[in-house]
Amino acid sequence: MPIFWLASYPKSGNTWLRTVLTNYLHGAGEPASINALIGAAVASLRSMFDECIGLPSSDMTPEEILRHRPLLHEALAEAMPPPAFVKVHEACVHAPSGTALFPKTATAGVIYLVRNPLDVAVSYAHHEQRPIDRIVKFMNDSAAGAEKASRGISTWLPIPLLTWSGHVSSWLDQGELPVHVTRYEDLLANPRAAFGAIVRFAGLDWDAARLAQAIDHAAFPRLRAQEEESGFDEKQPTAPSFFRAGVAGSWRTALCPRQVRAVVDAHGPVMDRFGYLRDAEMFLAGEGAAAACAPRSRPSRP
Amino acid sequence: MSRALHHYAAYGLRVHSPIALPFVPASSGPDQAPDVAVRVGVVPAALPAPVDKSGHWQSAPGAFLLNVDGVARYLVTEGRDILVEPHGSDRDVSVFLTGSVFAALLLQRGVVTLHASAIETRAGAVLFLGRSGDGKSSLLAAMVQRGHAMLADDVAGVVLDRGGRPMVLSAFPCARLWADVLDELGWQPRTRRRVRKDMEKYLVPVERFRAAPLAVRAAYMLTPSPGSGIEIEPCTRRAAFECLLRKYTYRKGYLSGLSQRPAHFRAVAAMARQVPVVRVKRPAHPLRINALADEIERSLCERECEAEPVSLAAGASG
Repeated sequence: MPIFWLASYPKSGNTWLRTVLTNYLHGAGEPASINALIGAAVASLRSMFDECIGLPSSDMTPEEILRHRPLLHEALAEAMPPPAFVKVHEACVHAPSGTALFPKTATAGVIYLVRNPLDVAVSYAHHEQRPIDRIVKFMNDSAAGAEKASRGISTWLPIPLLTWSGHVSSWLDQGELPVHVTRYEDLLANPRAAFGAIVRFAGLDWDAARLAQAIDHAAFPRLRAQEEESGFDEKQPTAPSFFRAGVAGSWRTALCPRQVRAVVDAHGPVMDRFGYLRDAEMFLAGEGAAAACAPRSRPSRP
Repeated sequence: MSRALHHYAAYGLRVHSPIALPFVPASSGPDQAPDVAVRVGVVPAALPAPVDKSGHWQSAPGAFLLNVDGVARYLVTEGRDILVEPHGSDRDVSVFLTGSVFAALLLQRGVVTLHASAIETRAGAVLFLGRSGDGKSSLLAAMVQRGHAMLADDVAGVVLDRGGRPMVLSAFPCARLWADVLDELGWQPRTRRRVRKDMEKYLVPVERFRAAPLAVRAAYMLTPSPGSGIEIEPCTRRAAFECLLRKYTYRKGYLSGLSQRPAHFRAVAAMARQVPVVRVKRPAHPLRINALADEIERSLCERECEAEPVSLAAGASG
């Protein structure tokens, strides 16, 4: 069954989308467990690679792994029963062989979530428990990757991310795969319309009442209550919580003007494309211009 | 092209190979005919009649073909012959030769290949089962540091002896360890070499090595979990069987084409019946390798206290 890729840069609402889809498909009176969500990131799992490809990813270079990933995605598409949803944070790049990482034949469609990079920076810093400056730099590093530990191994394969802008463009401008793009902010502002469009794009049976219930089951306070009660398997062990704020615009208080400027300088054109640039520039021209900037967490040496 | 022939012993087999296996000592008795002959030559691109295949391997009864892009193509026949067509460095060729290729050879010989490391304890062999990244090599290293002899890293071969007891075969006397694990254990090996160029993963010789098979006394399944605690809990025989068969059979994908499924099924069932299997939940990150080794040692100690003495007569310790 060709796969619907639930694609996004990290911290852009992917898990929330999976929670709504899970509840929509279950259609149950009770909220589904956050530890049994559909659309898990199986394509990025080391053990899945080893099993499907028949080679040990831990003895392979990142380039060699990437070269074999298209084949893994084909094998997954062949094996997965409908509805086949798979979360991916990978950018839509090409393997060193020139083959698309996400082959057309393995793909039913792409549901791409985009979120204001200023909010992404705040959320990512919380998730990784790293200084915001470092995350801002990471979001502008074209060689950036998640799970890229060079001195050890994780249960995940290396995940090529590119820059934040590069990630967005890689998925939206590839021209091969059908893409439905949704802004995180629109999911928040008008969930029924925004999730509804996703449900229709994925070709699921349409049921407005079921969607309303699914959105209700996936309401942020409920997700947070579930996490507090039973934990969330997908949380970084070092992060205090996975479901943090679930709002738009927290960058206004969490970022200093220098950090906002750095993000705007790096990602202005793509921010403009999604209506994020104007707010940032108004902030820099107005309140931000007057606000004091927090010192860098790690001052550079003179 | 003429290459010197190296003589090795691994998994209870005499192996003659023109490709050097780093840190595996030469074995004596070169006059004896080998059980496994590795040769260098031209490997066909495909098997004539593959029963099962993926993009990189094909299998049929008695034949297995593996292609590793830029490294080598390998053909394994009847559990005796390995034909290698190298495309990369000898180092790279040996990495896959001693891993996936040897696993296919063992499967052809009816050996159960488990994704596990193994050590010798006073009560018998103990397996640490885990998928890639679950921590089995790290735990092996910690246990070797604590005085246990190594039997296998990554791929443990298990056979039933005449009495139907599961025995773990002694593999290669070296471990593949990442730099962060060596750091955490404070292990500064006398010598080491990168598993692959530019990778911070090292092949490290292990001197404390048992070169003879040993009855399996227990198996621990390493399971990374959320949370920071380490929990050890017993596993039902049914669950143990399922896990050994589906989760921890190394390269189980190769099995169907090789027509070894029924024999494998029987051997795994025998193992699940006789060997206590325990689930170890360990924090996903950081691994806390020494704390994990402490808990395992405590658990082993309790097990030994309860255990009836297990005969170590299967072979002298190497």
